Amino acid sequence: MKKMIMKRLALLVFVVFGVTFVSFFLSHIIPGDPARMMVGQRASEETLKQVRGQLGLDQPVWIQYVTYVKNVISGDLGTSIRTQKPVLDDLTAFFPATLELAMAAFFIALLIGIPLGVLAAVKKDRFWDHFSRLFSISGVSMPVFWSGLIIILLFYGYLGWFPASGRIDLNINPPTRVTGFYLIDSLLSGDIVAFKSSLKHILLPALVLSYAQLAVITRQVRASMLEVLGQDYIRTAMANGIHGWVLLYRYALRNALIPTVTVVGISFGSLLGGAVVTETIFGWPGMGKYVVDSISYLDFPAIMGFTLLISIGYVLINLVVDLTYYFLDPQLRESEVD
Amino acid sequence: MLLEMKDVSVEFTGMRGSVQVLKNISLNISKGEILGIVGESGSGKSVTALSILRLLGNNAKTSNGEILFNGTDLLKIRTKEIQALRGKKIGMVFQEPMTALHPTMKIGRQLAEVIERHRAVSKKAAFRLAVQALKDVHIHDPELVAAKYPFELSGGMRQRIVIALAMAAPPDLLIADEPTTALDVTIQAEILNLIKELNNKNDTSVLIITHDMGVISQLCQRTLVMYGGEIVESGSTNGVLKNPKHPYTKALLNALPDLADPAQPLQAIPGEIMDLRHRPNGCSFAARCSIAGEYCRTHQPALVEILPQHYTACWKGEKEQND
Repeated sequence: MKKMIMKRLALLVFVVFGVTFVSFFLSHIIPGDPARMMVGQRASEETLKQVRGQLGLDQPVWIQYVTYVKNVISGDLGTSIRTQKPVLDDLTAFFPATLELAMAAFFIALLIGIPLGVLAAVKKDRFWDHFSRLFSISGVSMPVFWSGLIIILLFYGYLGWFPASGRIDLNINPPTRVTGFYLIDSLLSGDIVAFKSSLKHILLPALVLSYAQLAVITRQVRASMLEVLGQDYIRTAMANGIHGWVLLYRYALRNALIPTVTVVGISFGSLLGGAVVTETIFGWPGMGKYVVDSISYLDFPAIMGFTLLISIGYVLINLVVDLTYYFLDPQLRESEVD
Repeated sequence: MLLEMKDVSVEFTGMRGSVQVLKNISLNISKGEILGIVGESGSGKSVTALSILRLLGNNAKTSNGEILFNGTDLLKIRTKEIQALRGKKIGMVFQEPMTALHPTMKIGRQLAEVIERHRAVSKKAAFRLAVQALKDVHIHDPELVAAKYPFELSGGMRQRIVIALAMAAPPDLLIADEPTTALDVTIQAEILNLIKELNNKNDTSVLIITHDMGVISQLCQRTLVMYGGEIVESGSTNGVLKNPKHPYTKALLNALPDLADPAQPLQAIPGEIMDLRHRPNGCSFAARCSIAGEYCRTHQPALVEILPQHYTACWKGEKEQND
């Protein structure tokens, strides 16, 4: 297993290199001049040239690229043209919020999606199967900006149970930063008030975000549960008197989860990407707004930094997916020993 | 009587209507007895076995009859009650040991899981009993095997474990559906001996389903022959094998290779097994029978006692006796 992890991490280097290459040239090919954006329409040619020189934009593209890669290797992602701060600082400021939201949504999606898929498989072609289909498909079909507004209207507008925006109440101090996750940091510092407040804040956006992912998980769990439930060993287990929850969860689901893990991994990736819109609706101070603003400002270093981060994220998720296989399938563990 | 099936019929319902796969099956097994059911694939042997435990799929319907187990009709009790009975009172062993075990659960855990179900024991005690159960089916190093996954074991080992699972309670009745078919010949004998030994030791009744006359002659006191979802002959194993009355039984026995004269070509039964969707009006074996006459094709024979405790469903058989 160690060998596999090492291999994957080595692969990560190549993936990241490839991603920087593609995204660098793509972002530099599109028309637009960040220097012009910086100095404004009425600035003189002189100033423009000077700024270009500062940003290194007067160099040929491939030299710019080599310089960029060199800097990245030494841990420097460049300075954001828009915020004038190091990109790395910006990312570490905004990314934990996005990751926390995505993980919360992921957790909710699994918590609802897996049982719903199991239920649909067990009650195949009956009420709960149709219900689960309708519920999960409506999740993918409904755009996030719409379901987000509906949920805000209901839980904030009418019921007033949950706040509609932000990560924490304005009059409560954010917990001391350790991981950047408010939920974890507040627990670490024993600040229950802050924990409660951030839990209340994350619930609605996480719910909206998870709703869109629910279908993938539910449908996959249903399909693989149906397959597993038809297998011989389930019949043996039944003949031996195993039934009910033990049969469903300890016998069937465990093996049904193996194909599900792949889908779930991909779905987590799209959660990270999909968080952008949700963040905008719920005023969540994450990567979403930062990236959108950076793109409209042609803030190359910021765009590149974000792309880099997401691609590393994808590779790591895939690694986690593979490690989960090892955990679920003893045959894989065994073959590794040889 | 431990188990009494009376006039049980089973229908499978599909997209294109329903098919009767079992037709008025009656059989009984007394305590400690080993009963064999023999027949070709598709004769309804396995369906008979599965119908006892109510393990047929949702598309199957047991349309009439009763299955009395210790006097209780298994077809009438609630799902919860039959679930409680499975494994505890009636155990079952299946044909394919390679796929019959939970692929990602250790052997010891699988056994303990079943033992915990049937006996009021702690988790720790259940695991100890699991190791003992492995010992009972003659597995060397039971502790070692208990810590393994099914894919690390051979087919013979796995079938022993499947038997250990079925015998965990131990049950009053063990149903073994082709328990040796998927195994090597040398392993087959061991598994059969094991079943016989467990039968002796616990006085467990055994219903063994097979297409192998050798298995029948080695194990069973009484034998039923099935064809097309019906019982065509039944009697003591000796009587059925030595003095078969039904042409189908005779044909089955003729199809066996003669070890004394290996040069002789094998006698296959002509024709194919009946298409259950088109049941003939008369005897279901008539189309393949060498002695069937016009009467056989239009009139259905009933199972009649042709010799003491020896039954057959054949017009010709009766005639033979009449002659």
